[in-house]
Amino acid sequence: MPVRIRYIPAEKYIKIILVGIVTLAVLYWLFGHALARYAGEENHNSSIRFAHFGNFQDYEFWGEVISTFQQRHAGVSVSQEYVVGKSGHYSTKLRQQAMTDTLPDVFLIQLGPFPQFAQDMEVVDDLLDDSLGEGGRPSRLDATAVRAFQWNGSQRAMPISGGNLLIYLNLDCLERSAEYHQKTLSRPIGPWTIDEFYLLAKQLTCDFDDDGQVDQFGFWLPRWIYYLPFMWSFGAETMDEHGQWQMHGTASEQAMSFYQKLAVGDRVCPRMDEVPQLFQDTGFLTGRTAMCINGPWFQPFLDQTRLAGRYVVLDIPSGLGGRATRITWDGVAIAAGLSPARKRLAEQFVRHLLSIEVQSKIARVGRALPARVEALPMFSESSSHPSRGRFVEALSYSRLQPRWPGFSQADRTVNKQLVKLIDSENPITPKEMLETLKRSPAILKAFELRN
Amino acid sequence: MQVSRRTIFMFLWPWLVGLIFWTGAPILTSLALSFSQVNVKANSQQAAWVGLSHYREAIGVQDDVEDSSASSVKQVTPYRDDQFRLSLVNSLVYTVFAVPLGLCSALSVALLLNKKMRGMGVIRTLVYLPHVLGGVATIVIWSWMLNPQYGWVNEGLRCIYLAVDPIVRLFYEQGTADWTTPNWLYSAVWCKPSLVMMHVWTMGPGMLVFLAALQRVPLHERDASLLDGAGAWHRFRYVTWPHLTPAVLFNLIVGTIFSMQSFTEPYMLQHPQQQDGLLFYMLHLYQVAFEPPYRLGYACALAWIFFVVIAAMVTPMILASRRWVYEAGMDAA
Amino acid sequence: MNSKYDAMRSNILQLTLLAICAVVLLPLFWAGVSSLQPLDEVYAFPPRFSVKHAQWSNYSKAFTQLPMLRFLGNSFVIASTSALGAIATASMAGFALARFQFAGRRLAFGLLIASMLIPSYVLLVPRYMLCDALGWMDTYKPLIVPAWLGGGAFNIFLFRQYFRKIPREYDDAAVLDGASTWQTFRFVILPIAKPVVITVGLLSFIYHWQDFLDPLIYLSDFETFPVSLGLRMYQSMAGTWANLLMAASLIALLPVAILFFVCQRYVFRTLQAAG
Repeated sequence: MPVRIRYIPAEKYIKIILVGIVTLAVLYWLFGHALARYAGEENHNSSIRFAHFGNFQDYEFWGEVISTFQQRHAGVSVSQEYVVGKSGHYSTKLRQQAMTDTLPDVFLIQLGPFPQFAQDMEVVDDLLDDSLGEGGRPSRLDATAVRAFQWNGSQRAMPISGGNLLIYLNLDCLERSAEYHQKTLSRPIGPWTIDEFYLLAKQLTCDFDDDGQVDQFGFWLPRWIYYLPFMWSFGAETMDEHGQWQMHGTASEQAMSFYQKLAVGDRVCPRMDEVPQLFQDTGFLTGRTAMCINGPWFQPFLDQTRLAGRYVVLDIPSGLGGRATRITWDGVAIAAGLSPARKRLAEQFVRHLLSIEVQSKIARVGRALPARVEALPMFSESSSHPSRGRFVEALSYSRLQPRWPGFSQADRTVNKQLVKLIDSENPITPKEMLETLKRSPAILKAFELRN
Repeated sequence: MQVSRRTIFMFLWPWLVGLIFWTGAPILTSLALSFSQVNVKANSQQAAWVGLSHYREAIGVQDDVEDSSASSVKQVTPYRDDQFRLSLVNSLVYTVFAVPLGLCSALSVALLLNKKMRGMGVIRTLVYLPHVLGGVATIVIWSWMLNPQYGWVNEGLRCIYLAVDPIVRLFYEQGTADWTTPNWLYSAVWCKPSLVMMHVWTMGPGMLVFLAALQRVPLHERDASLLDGAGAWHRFRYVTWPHLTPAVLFNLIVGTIFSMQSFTEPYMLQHPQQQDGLLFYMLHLYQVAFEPPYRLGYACALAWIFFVVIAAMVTPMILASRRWVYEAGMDAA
Repeated sequence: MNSKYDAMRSNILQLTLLAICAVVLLPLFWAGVSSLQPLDEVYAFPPRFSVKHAQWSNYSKAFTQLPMLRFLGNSFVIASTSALGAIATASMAGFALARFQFAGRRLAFGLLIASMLIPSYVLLVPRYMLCDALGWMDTYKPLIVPAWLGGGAFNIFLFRQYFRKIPREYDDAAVLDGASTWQTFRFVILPIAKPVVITVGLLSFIYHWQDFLDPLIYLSDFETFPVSLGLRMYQSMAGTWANLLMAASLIALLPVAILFFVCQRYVFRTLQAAG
């Protein structure tokens, strides 16, 4: 093995000097920024940070919103902090920033993590005043949306956009079933009842080749949270204003029996393994399930597939409890503890997001309902699809899903019980299910931690 | 080798700096947090000392001094964490199956690929690819592969049933007609084997480590044994194996740590139908820390309990390794 | 030696290799097929494996809808600098732990193993605080600098295991020739250890290429995203563009596959040299 050994002093000195320079450069690279900050050089009162989540379309959308804002307000810059993917990673990152005191100045927030943020006073609590301008007036906004972001009596975030759940029907499936049954199947034009829904769902469930295996399922229910509209229509409740668990009693039992009947008895709803279910509602996309329940965001997605124009949107059927559907809102919050100058900038930006300009842009994109009432007609007109306006109409009977910090644990617990309810071999009874839930530590704990 | 302190430091300083600042300080912080209740209020972190109560909560020991502590810190929850045991058992069961299977397959494939042959480079690359793909794409692919009705895994099983049907008929009239195929990811029993399968599929790194170690087997030793007319097994056991043992120890320990800490796959493939079958320890810890009500202090306690568990698994491996790991120019380890 | 027996053995070997390749490739083949399908066919039930009208536009879309080239470039910068750091610093520490006699050696080895055992999720928040204090947010420093500070305990451990297998005679010969410790390490041991150097380089490159959580937490500016973040941009509430996702995943796979192919030859060239 060749070993190079040199003893030339001059070269050694040059080496030492070079190493010194490189070391200094590396140290500057590593700590220069921090030094500058502690020397007090950094004082940005002309730039704010705005964080959001979503896919590449959402990224483009918020980029445009920011650039119009910057055009309006010369000298102000908004840095767009984008967290990819679904909301889970987003709330993780937000939480981390909250714990390290580095929350973005303005950030989108979903109804799920909102209660804990509000509880922990991470966000400013005096949002509803004149600083938000015309768009910040409650009268200009959807009432449920405003209420969604109130906590302990104060407005902790402002609603921006939202989505309620309605039923999607694949028209190709309807035709196929009509052919199979050799009679015309009518689809509801206006409001309908749970009995009518049940009938249609059963007719849509077909075994075309008579091999004993269902080829087309009537309806697809992904998770408990998507069954809430039916529960409410049956008159069942999940929790009351004080955070007490209310999912028991006759109405709840009826709702659960109906679910069991759909899934096990009549095979209207496929089992999880009978559809490609990894991502939402792909069974609907391919005609495997004829109906599904989903929000307005599903429509622009569908319109980019072959199903465009081959589906309609139907109301939530009504039952003994009337009818109600679930709505969620995304809000925008301002981090607590900003300097007055920065807070003013943040408010300016929120005002921009609530302006009729941005709100109509949200409406026109069509992935979500705008919070501002004046922009709603633009949502209905955002596509030539006739069903578009139905989401706006459904606002009148939309209800907020329960908000409480321990929601995700409780949600998982209910879902696990639902699976047992529709087990094909050994299902539990609805009564057993509700009893188990009432005593489940996860549900008790979810409430316990609220205060 | 006897060297001066300066030389030792010269070689170790990057790691030591990293160990102190990037690993050590955060670890000590997490240890401190595990004894505290972290509240984030109005942008100032408050941590209240709660002693061992997080550890008690996890292990399920009732808090004797509940009243006195409750008055000072209101948010301490007296509940027993019923998911702690479940998630720990899940992780252990997974590790017990995934590690040996992964190790064996990586070793046997590495032995196969350590031949000189045309196109071997391509084959090595192909076998490594699944590990490179990673992420969401792997999840999408496997959720299809394991689909109970149409997935290729069950398709393959049905072919096997068909093939063995005549043999089974000799003993059992029904044959294989009523044999069922597993529901894989939609079953409380089969969800862990599904993950083990995915683990074996992505054996690339382990295989690469074995391949690198195989390059240290001196050719003259192998040739000598060939001349002696030693059989394949004998050659493997007495020529190849001694040179592989450091790599085996490495893969065993690293595999155990990674399997115990596996998170991404169970996180993305979890499903209510598994009835918490894929609720692995890391998943539970993540949910505690990063889902409302964000109990970071408790998550740190969970992490430290886990630390002890993994250490209890790994330490015997290292201690026992002196008996079977061959090292050149041995000095007492 | 029985030549007939040998021929049969090599046939069996080839068949086994073929079977392994098939098992490994089937899922990848699936990925390839779905990357060419329109969206509703990707999700068709029962699944379809034929591509009637190959939608090659999925690939061009993957490049136009997202700045894929930029993502790939970013990933390359992060992964290659990290891999270099891991090779440089992990080999040093591994050498020290494998060869030097010193008082705290067993303690150091214990610390090395222990530092792998703690679940990294609880270290996220303290590390985040540290990076924020240093002004490292939205830079690649939180991703790269740790790789230059030991490059991960696993890599040090791997180096140590390998170095211990190298006979001491090499060191002794070098020292007799008048080489310093550093020279022994740099010019004698490292060249012998080329397979493991390349292994560590590859493992660490691929780790950083795929790493999702750290970039997610430390990077907020879209322009700086690596490809692992970019791939998640096909997911949303409404649905997932699985066909574009597959196309982009395969594009992201290609550079690493080439790198692996090139590097694995160097791992094996040593076989002849050292033998």
